[in-house]
Amino acid sequence: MTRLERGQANLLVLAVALVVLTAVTGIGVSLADGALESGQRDSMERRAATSLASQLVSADSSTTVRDSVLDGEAVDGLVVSDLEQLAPGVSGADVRVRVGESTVVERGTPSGGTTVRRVVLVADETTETRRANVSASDSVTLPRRTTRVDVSVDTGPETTVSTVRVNDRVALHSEDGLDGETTLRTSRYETLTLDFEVDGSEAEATLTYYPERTTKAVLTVTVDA
Amino acid sequence: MREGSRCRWRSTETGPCSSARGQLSLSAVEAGIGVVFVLAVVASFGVALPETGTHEAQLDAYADDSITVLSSEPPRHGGVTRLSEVSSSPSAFERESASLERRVRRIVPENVLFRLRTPHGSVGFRKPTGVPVGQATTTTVNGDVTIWVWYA
Repeated sequence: MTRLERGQANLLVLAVALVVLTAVTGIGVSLADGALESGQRDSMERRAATSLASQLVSADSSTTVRDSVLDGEAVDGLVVSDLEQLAPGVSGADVRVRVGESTVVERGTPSGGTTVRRVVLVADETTETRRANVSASDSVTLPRRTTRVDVSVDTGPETTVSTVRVNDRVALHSEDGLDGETTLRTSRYETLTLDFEVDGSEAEATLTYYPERTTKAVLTVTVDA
Repeated sequence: MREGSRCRWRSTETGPCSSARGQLSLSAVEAGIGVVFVLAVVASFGVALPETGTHEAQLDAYADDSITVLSSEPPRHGGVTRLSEVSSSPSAFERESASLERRVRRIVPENVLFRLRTPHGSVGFRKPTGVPVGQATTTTVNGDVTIWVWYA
């Protein structure tokens, strides 16, 4: 009786079948490995991008004035080593930080990767000065809100300015008369009205204040490992 | 002997050979099934997992940032902040709601719609169902203010 008659397997076909199966299994394992690795890399990129973005907008970062408000000059001066200090996860990866349309700092060319966006305001500080001759009945109202005011009082020989009030709260007081320049810290949320207690008629106050100009922008952080 | 058959016929109990009977080679069938199983397992690795989490996380970040920016803005007239001014009374809300909506629309990115709820009313668009929505809440002296954002 032949092998074929007995219904047994052909050795050649069996060998070919084993080879094919082993090859397919090998290919499958390598594909699975690649898929797992790319999944891990994706989650690592996302973690790095999210943490870098949070660090850039957080209130206690050197790049922000307060929470979610970036300091325009500090952001322009960012370099790659700052990014690595803020978020160690971006070391070794291509990274790009953009504010609005302009790229602030970039390492390599991140194409693809993970992108995280945050809404921010970019604050630039401007300086404005106002001079006024003050007398006891005058108050000076500053047209813009500011966080500090430099008050400089110039008086004639017969005149003394003894008190400066900000929104009816005494801010500066001196019995002998105020002289020179002082910086007052004020609240950003209030409109400021300054009152002067003047004894005499020749007093001039120079007020320098620093209103903040904010523009809205979208901070885009792209990390490509 | 049958014509065209490649195997010899012997007068035994067994029937003709398998190719004459028209049956498949069993090894080929087994190999085929094995390959199909392995490819099925491999395909499960190749199917990308759905990333629903990333849209929600990005929208939550947008909502958080928008409410942070809004809650630290100075008021237009009186009140501690802009949000507390809007939430202080129904008449204040009526007066301020148009400018509040304009301000929120400027803060929120262009491809994102919003709805802002204050204790005395809401501004913005209707919240849709079935899409990822990000949410953030802040508390003012007059109550809670909540913002929802979603992609347009």
